[in-house]
Amino acid sequence: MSGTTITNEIRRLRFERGEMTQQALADACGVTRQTIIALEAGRYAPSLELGFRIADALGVRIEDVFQWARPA
Amino acid sequence: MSRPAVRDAQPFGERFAWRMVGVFAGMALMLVAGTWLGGRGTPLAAVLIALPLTYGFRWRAASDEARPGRALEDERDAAIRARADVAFRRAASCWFGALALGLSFESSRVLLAPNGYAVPALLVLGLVVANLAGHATVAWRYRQDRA
Repeated sequence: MSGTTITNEIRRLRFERGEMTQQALADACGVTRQTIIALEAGRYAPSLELGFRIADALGVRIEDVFQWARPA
Repeated sequence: MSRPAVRDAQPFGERFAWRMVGVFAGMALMLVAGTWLGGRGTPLAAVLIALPLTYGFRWRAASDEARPGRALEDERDAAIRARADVAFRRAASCWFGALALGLSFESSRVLLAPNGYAVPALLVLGLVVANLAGHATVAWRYRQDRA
């Protein structure tokens, strides 16, 4: 569960969208606020479907939200 | 800590897991005390009745806390809950393996089964301990995830 090579820009994108709250994003994606917290902290890698739902809720493409860092 | 504060900090899955840890620990204690110390069959009968009912507790607790338009659990909770299956299987395997070994020898059999209720109670206790291990694993995973 902890530590993932997938990084994300969820926090920045939330603030760029009128300081959207974690709860508002969670409700828009159909997940719990704790999952948004875990995602922003980089402690959880979402499923592909949830990734698309988050990108859709933030109004951006999935690659604008998530990046994959190739393990060294 | 007040109840709303706990509710905000801990997700539903974690609160439910801690609650079930208490329920199964109580069952284990009742079985051990009633069967080996008291020599009675009533605790075994009570646990046998309560055990199948525990599977409905999650559904009941979830329906109590469900709010329209808000997810109570999601894929992350399912991933954490999946750890419980592993813990359950490991605990059950260890318990029943050790029990088979213990009952194979006369000296340990006398200690394990001093009365007629003891062997059935040991079998049921294995299920209780495996459930306890599953819920404790989930609760611990949630706690680690928040840290």
